[in-house]
Amino acid sequence: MATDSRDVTDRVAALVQAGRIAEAAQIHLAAGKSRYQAKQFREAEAHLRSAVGLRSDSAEARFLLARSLAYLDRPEEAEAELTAALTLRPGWQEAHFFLGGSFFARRMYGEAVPHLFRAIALNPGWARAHLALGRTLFRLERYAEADSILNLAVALEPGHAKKVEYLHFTLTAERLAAFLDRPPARDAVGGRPGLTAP
Amino acid sequence: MTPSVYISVEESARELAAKLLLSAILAERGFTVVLGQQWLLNDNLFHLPAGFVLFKGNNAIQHHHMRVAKRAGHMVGSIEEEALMVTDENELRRLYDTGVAGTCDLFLAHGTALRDLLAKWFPGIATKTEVTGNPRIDFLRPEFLHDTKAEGARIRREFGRFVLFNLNYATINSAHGDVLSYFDVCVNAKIYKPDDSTDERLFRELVQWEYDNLGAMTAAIDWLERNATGVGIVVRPHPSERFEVWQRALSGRPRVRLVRGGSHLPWTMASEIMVHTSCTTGAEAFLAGHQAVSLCPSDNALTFGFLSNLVNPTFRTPEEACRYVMARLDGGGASARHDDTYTQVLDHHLAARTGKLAAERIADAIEQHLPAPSPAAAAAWSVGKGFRTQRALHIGQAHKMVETQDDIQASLASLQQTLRRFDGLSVTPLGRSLFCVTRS
Repeated sequence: MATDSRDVTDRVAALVQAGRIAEAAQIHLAAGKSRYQAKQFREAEAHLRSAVGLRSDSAEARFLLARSLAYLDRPEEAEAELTAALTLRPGWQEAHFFLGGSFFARRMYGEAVPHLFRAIALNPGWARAHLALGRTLFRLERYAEADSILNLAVALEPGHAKKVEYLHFTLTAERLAAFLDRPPARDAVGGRPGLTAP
Repeated sequence: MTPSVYISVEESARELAAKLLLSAILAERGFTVVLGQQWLLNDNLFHLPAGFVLFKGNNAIQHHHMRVAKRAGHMVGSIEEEALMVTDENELRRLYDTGVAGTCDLFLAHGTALRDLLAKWFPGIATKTEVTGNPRIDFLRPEFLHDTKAEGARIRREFGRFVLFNLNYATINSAHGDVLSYFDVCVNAKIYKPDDSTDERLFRELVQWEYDNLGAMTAAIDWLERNATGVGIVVRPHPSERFEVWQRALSGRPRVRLVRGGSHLPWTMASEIMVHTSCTTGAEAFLAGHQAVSLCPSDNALTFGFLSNLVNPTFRTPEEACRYVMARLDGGGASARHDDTYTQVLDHHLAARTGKLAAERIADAIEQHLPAPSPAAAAAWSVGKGFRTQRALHIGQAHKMVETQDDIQASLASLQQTLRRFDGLSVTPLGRSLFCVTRS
């Protein structure tokens, strides 16, 4: 597998000149994948952009490009590539999962939800996707739905129980309002019941 | 090595003024200083002339960037911003990543207490530890409080007499969105290990402690709202909390006004008295000569790990605290500086509260590690090829350090006016929220 950038450039140039575009794109894809796995995301981006430039219909190149861009803190570009990858390969569960995750990270919860629902529809046994969806619904204050999905996440992967518990430690506006609206105790305000973590 | 100093800022509301003061002192001495957003500065470590990089802390993330800086040829130092006003050894220890003692060239300690702990944890680092104080405390000296008091007076004209409730529930009401996200951030910084039973217990205790404090604080707000007439109630959530949660919960309570953003100090100074739950703002209020009380409803060890609770009156129940507040409103009770023991405690934990500024002492310590500045070196200084002027930021980072050249110029002008020095310094933008401060 060609991973040296100069070697890749030379080989690709020769292939392009010979009109063997698909092979040239494949070399860039392989180099990009190698760089991505080595966590050299800038180099990965360069190769994967070249791969996409040669073969715009390469869903895999777009997906890996998106993952590299995500690591480079460029979520909007990553989302565009994931969207393009999904157009090329509908029903790609990982692409839905990461697109939903990217929207979640940008607090675009409404945009995240359909992709995460799609991810678990495509893979009902995927605990991590259930956890991601549950967190997103929790942020949207759709607590009943969140609880249902989070319970499934724990059922699929008991190791998620602590994460779900921590999520439920979150102070919500309703919980805070309940603190504020509690009637004062008869003897001492400090004696109010329920001043404990949920 | 060049006579250059790179000073990273994470939270401008917390650190920028102090680090601008340090930058101005170093620039006045002839050093080329780059000050600004830590993420952009870290991205550019390989594209800056070798100099001294001052980090804001010592956790795993900061330690990683220290190592990068060393690979890029810089020397590195740290001032542990999270340790200011913390006294509990366990809490302090977890701020320092394993191995950081071998990487960091200069540890700046806020006081002898932290210096002694560093020597205990990392034997052999005494030669690279300096007790300097923290320049954030410089701003609590009388000469710096003029503008703060003026701003406080403006607030008071607008809000009238009020009791201030300073909140600090950034774990259970984290701006990161939820407690799990906050925990993930802590794990990423290696403050907690995800599968360590001790860390799990400590994290749960932290959550419980914040809920205990929240319960007491909301009860105190409610008590004062019912019982105190002729005085307003102002609630100021911590900048790292989700403001909207308070906004929604407090809507429909006309006597309670919610404020956000900026420094707490003008609000504290504008208040009749400030109420908190083991918040560092209590110690700052004390240092600024203002009355504050701490509500400590639980026996959790965390309660005893903060300087504020050693220098403010503490109360177990909201009612006790509120009755004390009421007495103060009526002109009774003791003054802020009523107990000399408070000052003795401070001496151990906070150096440089008088005499030479903490910023000046830090500049002295850094200067030891660099070649002497010269006009030729300053003229030759330039960023390297590949220097980035901006970077994408996570949503949690984006608001933390957003400053324009005008902002920095205005802050510098304020320093010039206060200290009657720093004439002839110039500020040049190098990138988004990243600036070069030099002597013209």
